[in-house]
Amino acid sequence: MNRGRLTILALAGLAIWSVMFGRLVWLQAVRGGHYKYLAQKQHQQRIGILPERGRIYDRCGRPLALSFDGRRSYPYGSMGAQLLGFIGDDGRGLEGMELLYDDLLRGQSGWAIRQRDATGRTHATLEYASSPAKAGHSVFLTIDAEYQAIADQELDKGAKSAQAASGAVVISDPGTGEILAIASYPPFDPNRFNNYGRETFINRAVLEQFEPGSTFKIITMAAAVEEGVTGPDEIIDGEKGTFSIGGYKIGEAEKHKYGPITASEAIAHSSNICLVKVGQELGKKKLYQYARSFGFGCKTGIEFPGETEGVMERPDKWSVIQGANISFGQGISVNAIQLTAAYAAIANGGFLVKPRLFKGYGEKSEAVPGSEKADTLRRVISQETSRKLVAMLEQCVEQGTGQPAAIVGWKIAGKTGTAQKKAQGRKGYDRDKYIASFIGFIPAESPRLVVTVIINEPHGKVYGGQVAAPICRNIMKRIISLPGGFAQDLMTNNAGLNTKL
Amino acid sequence: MKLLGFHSSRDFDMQLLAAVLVLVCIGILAVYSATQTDQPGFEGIWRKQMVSLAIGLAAMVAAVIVPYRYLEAFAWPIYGLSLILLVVVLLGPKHMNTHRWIQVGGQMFQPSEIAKMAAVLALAKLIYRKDMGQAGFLGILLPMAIVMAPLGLVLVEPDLGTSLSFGALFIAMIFWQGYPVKNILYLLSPVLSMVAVFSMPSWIGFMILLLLSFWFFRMKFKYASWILVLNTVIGSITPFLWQGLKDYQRMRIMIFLNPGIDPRGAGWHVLQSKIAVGSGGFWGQGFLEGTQKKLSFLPEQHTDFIFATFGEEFGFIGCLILLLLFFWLVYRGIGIARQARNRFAGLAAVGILSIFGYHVILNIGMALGILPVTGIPLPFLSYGGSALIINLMMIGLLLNIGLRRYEY
Repeated sequence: MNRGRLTILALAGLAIWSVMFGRLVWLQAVRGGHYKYLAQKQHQQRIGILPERGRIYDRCGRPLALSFDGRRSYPYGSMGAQLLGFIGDDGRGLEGMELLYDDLLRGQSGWAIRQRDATGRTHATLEYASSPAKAGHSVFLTIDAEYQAIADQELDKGAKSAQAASGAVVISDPGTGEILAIASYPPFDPNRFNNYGRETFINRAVLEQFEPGSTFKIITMAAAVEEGVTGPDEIIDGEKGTFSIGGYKIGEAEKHKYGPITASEAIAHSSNICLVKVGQELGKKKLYQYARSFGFGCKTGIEFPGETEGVMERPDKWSVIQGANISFGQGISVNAIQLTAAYAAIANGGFLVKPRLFKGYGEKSEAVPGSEKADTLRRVISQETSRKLVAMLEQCVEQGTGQPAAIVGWKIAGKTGTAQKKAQGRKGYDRDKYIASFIGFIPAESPRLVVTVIINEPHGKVYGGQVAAPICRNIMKRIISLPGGFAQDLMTNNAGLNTKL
Repeated sequence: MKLLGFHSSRDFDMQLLAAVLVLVCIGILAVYSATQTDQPGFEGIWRKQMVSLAIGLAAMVAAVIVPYRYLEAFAWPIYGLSLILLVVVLLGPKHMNTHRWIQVGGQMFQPSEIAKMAAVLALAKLIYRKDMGQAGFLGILLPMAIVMAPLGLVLVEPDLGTSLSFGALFIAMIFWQGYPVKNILYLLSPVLSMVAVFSMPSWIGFMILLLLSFWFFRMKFKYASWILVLNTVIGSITPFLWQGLKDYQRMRIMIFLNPGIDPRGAGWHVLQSKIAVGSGGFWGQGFLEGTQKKLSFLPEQHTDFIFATFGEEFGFIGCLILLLLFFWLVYRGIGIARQARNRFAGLAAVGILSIFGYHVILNIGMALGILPVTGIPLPFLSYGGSALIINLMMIGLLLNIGLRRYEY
């Protein structure tokens, strides 16, 4: 072994050793942080913790929507489904209250970092850091679950027997504007919403706008009475059912031929000709003013996503026939909430009160928040006008088209409507497509409830008095017989009054 | 003393022994740590390794005491026996899909481990009297045949990594015995030809270089033509051999050339090893604290990739100490080889050291991602009984040679 060879050997050894040493420096000292990061990425897994979604309660603290183990459940099934809505797979509200109050209900997600092994298993026991989820708030609605159930059941029954395409019921407290029930037909079950078509999700009371027809006559009449154009007992000539204006013929329903009748009778029997005459005398500007004042043509502000505002053109664009049509509720569009609020204004002595669904929210507690003050927007008509109009509507139920809504022993006020539907894709109206409606309040003298029933495209019987008024009656009947309901409340008050007297 | 044939116990290389003892202790700790994972099936493995260590230490003591002259005397029978075992293992049943292990009385051992030592003894005995500087064509062919036999048998087990260790000890020993460096390069030229042939221009360039070197060295026509023919033949049959390789072998070579091609498959091993070593940082994660190991991200964490386990837990400082220990072992070993007056003993020492060197370089190089994954164990650290025992026996032989370095 000579020196040269040893040198070669030493150099080779040194070279190899240096390469390894250099590599170690590179991997562990220079790039150590990078590899630590890669290692961490492999064995640490960030896990999202879903918060418990807040509950939705009715006005009495009855749960309408609650969550168990990340699953949303709606204990009342299809009851009030279009109002409540539902949540998607990502836990986000997709419709209705679930959508509108998603931010309140959802809460805050938490997270945890867990150790994960090569097979992908995570170790719950080994948590590096975590932040707990914050549960969502509870939302309280003005809805009364009992009223809602009644509204849903009666709407379903009525709409089915009328073979209707769709329908809606709204029950509200005319004094406070609180909505006590919103029902929509056809129904769906939010617990299994995937099994239903999208059309069943639509809350028809808020989202659908339609021509109101005769229920709008009371608005024309309200303006006329308030402006002193006419009064309940003033005579209007019904022209024996033949009347034209601007070259257009105005007809009566069922070809009725009314002679001279009082304004009250005109409302009770729903005379188109008489109301056109009242409207003509009032003038289109005033009619428009009052219609706007009653809240038509703009959103009511109810807490529901996507509310429609209806259609009401400015009066300077109305032709003569358009103005005449609007007098009896054709040629404008409204939604059921607007109608309910307008009738509530007539019922409560003349105030337009903003309809409300939201009662308050709580921090997971189940204490029902106290009632807020009614949000009164404005006085629309005077107390006296209101009184006169209520009397007219009472007459409608006692003697007129609204008779099917009558309940023995109770004073009920209301108005029927049978609107023709605008034809699709052409001018004019469909001959056989109607929207039957009835809006009533009970008791007439000091109304506690306004009930609006809208039935879209009934078959066979199509008049509001035939289709919608019986549904209203059934609803009212069941509500007044509820134990602990407002009917008993009224009776004890009356009894107290009697003893005083 | 006379009987055992050494002059003084002061000749005993305590430093080498100490390095080895530290290494085996690290080995036991590393195996213990590497088997503390969340996967079942590794319980008690470190105890088995302790048993092997005890046997290995006993074997080492025996290898120190028995004068190496007896080994020299029995070199050929040992070599023959090792070849028989290599044949037997090929005829036996497969374990883990290869013919690497023989089962004897419930214990598994690898004949290739014995064959390495046997080849060292046989080759040393064959060439220690010869001046390899003057070796002609036949003079190199016979020694080559001595290592090619076990190399080939191990290759078909298949165990590419171990089979190449025969090549390593051969090169080291003929170099030590004075075989000209240029001739070693010529011997290796078919290997280069094999690699170069994967790109035709590089192979042509290589062949031109070869021809120029013949002119430069004034190579005899007889040899030059032989070398030329050999390189041409190797170059032309390699593409066919490549097709004949096992899929996993081809994959490993390809992944080494381009680790990005399969990050979730075989490239996974290399990547995970680098992550483990790298995340050890300067001071390491601490004993038993390696997360990549514990969570089973590391492949073969107690055998071939034990260096990664060690590197993750003991960091740069630990790895540096380990490299120094291996360096010290080889350095002391070369001192023994140099001082040995008996040329057989010196050659045998060099052969043994080359085996250690080959394993250490390839294994650590693989764990650091600078050499291909060949699947060979790291001496004294990797789990495996036969390797540990034979390694300790070879250390014993080294110490034996050192102890009797003044003998002729």
